[in-house]
Amino acid sequence: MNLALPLPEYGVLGLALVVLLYDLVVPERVSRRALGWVCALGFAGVLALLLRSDAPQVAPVPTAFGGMYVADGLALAFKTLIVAAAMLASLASLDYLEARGVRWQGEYYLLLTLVTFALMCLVSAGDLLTLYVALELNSIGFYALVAVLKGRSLTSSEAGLKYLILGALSSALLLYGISLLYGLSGTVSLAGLAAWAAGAARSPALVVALALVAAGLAFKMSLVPFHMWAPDVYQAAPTPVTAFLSVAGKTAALALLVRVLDAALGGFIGVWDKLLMVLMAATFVWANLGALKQRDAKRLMAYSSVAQAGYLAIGVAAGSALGLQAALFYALVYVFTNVAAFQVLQLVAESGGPELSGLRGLGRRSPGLALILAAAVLSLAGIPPFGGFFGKFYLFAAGVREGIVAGRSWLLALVGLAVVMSIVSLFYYLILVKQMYIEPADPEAPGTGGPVAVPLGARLVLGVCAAMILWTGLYPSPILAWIRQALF
Amino acid sequence: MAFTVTVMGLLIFAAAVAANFAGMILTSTILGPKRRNSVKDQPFECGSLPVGPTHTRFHIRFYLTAILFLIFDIEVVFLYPFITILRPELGVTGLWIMGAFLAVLVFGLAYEWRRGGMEWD
Repeated sequence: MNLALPLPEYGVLGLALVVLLYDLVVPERVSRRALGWVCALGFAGVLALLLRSDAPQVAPVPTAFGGMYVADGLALAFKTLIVAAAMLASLASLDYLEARGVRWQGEYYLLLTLVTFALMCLVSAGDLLTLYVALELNSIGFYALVAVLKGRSLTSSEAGLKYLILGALSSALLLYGISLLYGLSGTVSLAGLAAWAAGAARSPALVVALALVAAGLAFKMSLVPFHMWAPDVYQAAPTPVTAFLSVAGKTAALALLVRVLDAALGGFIGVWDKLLMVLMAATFVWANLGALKQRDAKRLMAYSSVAQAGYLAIGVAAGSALGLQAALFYALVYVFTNVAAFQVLQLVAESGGPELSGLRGLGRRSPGLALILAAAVLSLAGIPPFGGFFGKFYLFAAGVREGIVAGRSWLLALVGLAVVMSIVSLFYYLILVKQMYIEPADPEAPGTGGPVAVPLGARLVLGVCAAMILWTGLYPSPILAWIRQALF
Repeated sequence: MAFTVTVMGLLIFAAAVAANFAGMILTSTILGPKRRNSVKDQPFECGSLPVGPTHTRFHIRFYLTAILFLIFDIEVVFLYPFITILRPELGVTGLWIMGAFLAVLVFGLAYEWRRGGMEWD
């Protein structure tokens, strides 16, 4: 057993203890704002460690704790994304919490680090039980983070409660599915399940187990019809938490789908791919049509995130190495694009309010912010030269290739639907652009005067995200090489 | 041989307990005063009412006590088997790992203390 293997996790856990200690030692009256910088620096250190470590390139991947912790390239790549998102979320939180006078800032950063730790364990899970415990740990942290504006915003508490109740329901579904799988196979280890799935017969119990597991995971990934928590939670949660939840929570759920469905239960792809494709088709249609009617900017982005989760799942449904690479690339683009969009919306909402109309005149007031938001939403819509175009292109290509090579015509139809609904999505993404550049600003509305104030933390977030949106779109080959090396 | 000794020890202990028990009851029956009243005929006479509503309400603050209990209960659950195999198997590495585990718990305890979780009001 190699105890030094989970070094990045130890790093994040150590950071959590540092945050806790700081919060305990520093007197109450001193602002906890510095903790945001501490977290950002700590996450940057862990990120450097992750980027420097090489993915294992030979067959038996290193494991620890009796196979419960797996350190393969998939885990490494997803951890890199999660820690990067956590770093950006800490930077985005600094001034947001300070401006609202949130009382529990120490706890906020502590929960942020612990959620990151849980997400890292989640993508490294080699066992259904580790997976479940890590999933619960990150969910409980997120319930509290969503409701951190308690006392200042009623909707934040409401969203936290909704998320808690629905999250508990989904955990129960997943756990029931896991217990059925264990009853059928006699093992909870993912490697053991893969060996069992290669030769096991299909049974009605297996279909129920797969449906329950897929439902539990689809809930975390917010695929329709398990998305109903997402709009309320995304709208009412503090914006940095929304950004972190939408990118880190979703990429970790994607890693789980890959690990559980593709890797461990790949032998039953003929059973679960139909379940997954029904969910995805519903997601494409419902999320993209639902977004058209939204008036609140964060709620619109919530529906957009639900739709994006559907695109990400194409890579899982394809079940091929190409599909996995494409999903990882798209997840990378999605992390930076979505964080950029939420960061701009957060800054604009400080003066213009949460409504879409608050964006009016932004093109003249703050041309830089407007440009970044426009680039982000066009990237989400899949317009070149931004990263989202290549991401969608690789995903759709992987789906079409798998559909033709393996003769899975339903997959082809699904990709066709995704392309059509992607065009529909362009409409609501362009509503955002239209509000910023074309709609005349109401001179009576509050905060329509000067440029939007952009504090240093937000500046860093926007700089990193804008650079990544352009880099992934203009010169993606080094990133693709990194992904291929990670997923050998 | 060793088995017989153990069993003999147990038997002697059991006999001593039984004798002690019987002796106490017997002594109090012979020597104690006997004044009967209605309260003494109730199943319990420690001041709690034998009949009443079953859904009793208790203070929400007990949840913190419950959480604390869980944490330290788990700690003991880990500590006990740890101690039994520390010498033969785990060695110094095991001691360090357990130290790290306990350190995390101590941090939690410090947090809880500092935030006033131990105070009732």
